[in-house]
Amino acid sequence: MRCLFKLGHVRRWGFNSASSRALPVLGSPSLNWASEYKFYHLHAEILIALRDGDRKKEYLGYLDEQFIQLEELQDDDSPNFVEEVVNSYYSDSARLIRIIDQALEKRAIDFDKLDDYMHQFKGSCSSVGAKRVVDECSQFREYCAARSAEGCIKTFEIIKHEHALLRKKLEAYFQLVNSAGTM
Amino acid sequence: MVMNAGFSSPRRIDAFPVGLRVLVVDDDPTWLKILEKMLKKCSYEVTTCALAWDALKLLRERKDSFDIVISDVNMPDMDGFKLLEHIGLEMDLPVIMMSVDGETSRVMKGVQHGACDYLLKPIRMKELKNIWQHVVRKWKHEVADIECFEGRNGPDHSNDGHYGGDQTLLKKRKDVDNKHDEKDSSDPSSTKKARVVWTVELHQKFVNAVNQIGIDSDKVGPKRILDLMDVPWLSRENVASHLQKYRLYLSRLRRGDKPESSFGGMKNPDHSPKESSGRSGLQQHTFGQQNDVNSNYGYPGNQLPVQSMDAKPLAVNMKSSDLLPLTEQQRPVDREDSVPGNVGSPQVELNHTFGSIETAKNYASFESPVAARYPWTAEIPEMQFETEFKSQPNLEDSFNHPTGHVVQQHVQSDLLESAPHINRRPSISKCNNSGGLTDIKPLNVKQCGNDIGQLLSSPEQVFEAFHLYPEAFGCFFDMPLDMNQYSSANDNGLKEQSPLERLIQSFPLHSQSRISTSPGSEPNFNVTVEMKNQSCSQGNIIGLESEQRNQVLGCKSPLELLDTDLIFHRLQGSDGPSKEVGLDLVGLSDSNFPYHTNEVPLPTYVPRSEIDYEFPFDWLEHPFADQRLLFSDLAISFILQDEIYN
Repeated sequence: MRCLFKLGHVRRWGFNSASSRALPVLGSPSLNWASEYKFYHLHAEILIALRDGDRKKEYLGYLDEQFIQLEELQDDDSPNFVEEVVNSYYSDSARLIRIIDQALEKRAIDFDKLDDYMHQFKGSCSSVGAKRVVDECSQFREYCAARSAEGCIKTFEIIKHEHALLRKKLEAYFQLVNSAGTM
Repeated sequence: MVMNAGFSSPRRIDAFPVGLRVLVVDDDPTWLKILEKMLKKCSYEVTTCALAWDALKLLRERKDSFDIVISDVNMPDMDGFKLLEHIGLEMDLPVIMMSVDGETSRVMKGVQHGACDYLLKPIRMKELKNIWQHVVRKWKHEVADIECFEGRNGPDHSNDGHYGGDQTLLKKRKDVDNKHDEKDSSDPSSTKKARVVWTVELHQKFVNAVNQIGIDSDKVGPKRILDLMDVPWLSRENVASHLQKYRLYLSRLRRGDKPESSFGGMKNPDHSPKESSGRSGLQQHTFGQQNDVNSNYGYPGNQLPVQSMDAKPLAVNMKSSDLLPLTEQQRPVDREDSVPGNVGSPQVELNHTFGSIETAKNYASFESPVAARYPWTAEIPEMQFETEFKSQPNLEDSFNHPTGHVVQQHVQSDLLESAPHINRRPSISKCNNSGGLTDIKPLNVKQCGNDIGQLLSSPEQVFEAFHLYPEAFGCFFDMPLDMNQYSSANDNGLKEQSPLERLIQSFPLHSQSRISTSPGSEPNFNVTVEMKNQSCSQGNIIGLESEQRNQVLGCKSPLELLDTDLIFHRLQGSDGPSKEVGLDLVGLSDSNFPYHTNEVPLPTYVPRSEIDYEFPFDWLEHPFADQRLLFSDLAISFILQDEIYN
């Protein structure tokens, strides 16, 4: 899980960025070891092994390098940047999900429009690095091209599920981050 | 052109690409937020827009406020490609497209619509770090940047605000170029070797070929034209770019001359086959004129805009042929040699640059900017001149960037030519030895950034410089004020008058013939005056004092003054009359001028011998053997000098 030990994270946890140590400093009185561990655990869980990005099927994580990028963008000027972006993503994507749901409910599905909406949604998901969701979106678009209503509906269910799942994970993640605070 | 100074923020050119002004357009709020943050991290100045129409409106309102636009492809209110087209046509800013969809067809569409780049989402920081390259590339390719002249607020110039913006841009370019130069430490001439100088003759061949095929026919294409032209050394790319400019020019003609549109057209012009970097536009202009009228104004299009440029063949006597060094194209004259011959080549370059200036300057104020610009249209570029003047606000900058004004070129070149020494610009003075033109080179090199610098290394380069930095030239004329900033060639010594002013002043307005023939008689170059009139719209175009202007005498038209022929004569050092004429320029009021005898403001015609050569310029010393110093060259040198000294 090399991604975990990116500078941003290390920094957040008060590690010496120059240090090669990747794990929390155990025994340090100022560190809440347990929460740090939780953070790492969660972080590892939600992030994919970036090195293995090619092997799509093997990714474990929910997010990709884009998320790391966001974390790296976070700085003193915008200390809650990642969270803000994620919030923005979720409010915007909720709107798009509603629209797509409505479009799918129609008797005569307009696949081109659907494809258009999904294109927007996909773009939005890529902004936070929601890898799993993005992959499902690509799948959805393929079904649109194939004019398969069933395929679209089924895929969209998966998308919504992944979307909600990621949201939960991120909420937990931010909670940890905020509570752990900066070291 | 009004120099309107209300820009959002002048660009910081001190540390390009820091401060690059980016406009981001994306309907996705999340991406907008992310991109804003990323760009800020790159030290760019970011403005975001969620709607395409808003973005367009913003761009139209604050034309010079942005350097580059990044836009999403899929937007609800307007197709991204359409926005791309609009921006390209109206503002000619580089546009980068982005999308989550990376399908080849989409990317192809983007390219076809003119996008500089196509990024795939998710976008990485590293991709955004290099977007400034598109800005620089655009500068390089633009023959004339009207935006420059639109009067950006120059943060650090005391001259009128008009030029500020341009100056900023010019400086920016200059800086960038300089940086590049330094970084690359490449041989200036090496990159520019392939420049093609679109002389009048060459352009005529081109036009003939095109007409033969039929301009509107489908068959017209660079290859066919090239075949018909039968010019061995010309490449297909040269023809292609020239064709593009020519087309633009034609469409502009058909459309009428709207200052902006014309300008815009120029920018992406089809016309002026790029000679080597868009200089062609300039050259063509110059050549056009020359050929047409022998009139000389060395600037084909740019005739001294001042007034009605009746394209009179001003001082045709001046050896129009001489004047057209440009036409000679590529004279490989080596500007560095302080040989007048070199002067010739610089002239060519100047023309080039002027050409670009012209294009840039399509200011509506001139009657037919297009005409002016395209010398090949055998039109008198009257307007060009004006426009150029307008755009001059950046004279200062333009000075540094010879490519700036086309129109200015005319004037400038004249001025330049006539007063190699006048070059206040450091470069000019430096070049002086080489008959003025070479001096110009140094200036450019330093100041105009790589482009100009390179240009300077050879006459062609100078022209290139002009071409590339029309603003520089434009400014040259426009801003007398700016010129003032330029200290005398010796070392930014010319303070009193901008080189341009001086030049202008030195050019008597009266008919060229007069000047040429009676060197001693009318010293006053009313160039400035003329310019003033013309560029009045610009504000002070030439900050010449009224007296000076008046002095300029009643030149009938700036054209006269600017007539390159005139200058030519002047420059012809050794020749009696011409020499004197040249002196005139020198004699520009400002003492900054190398040879100026502190006769401000009006450059009275002072025989060379009487001129006080303050500048190390050897111009006077070395009569232009070649006597081909075109006005444009002078202008260039002027500008260059300024730059060098600045």
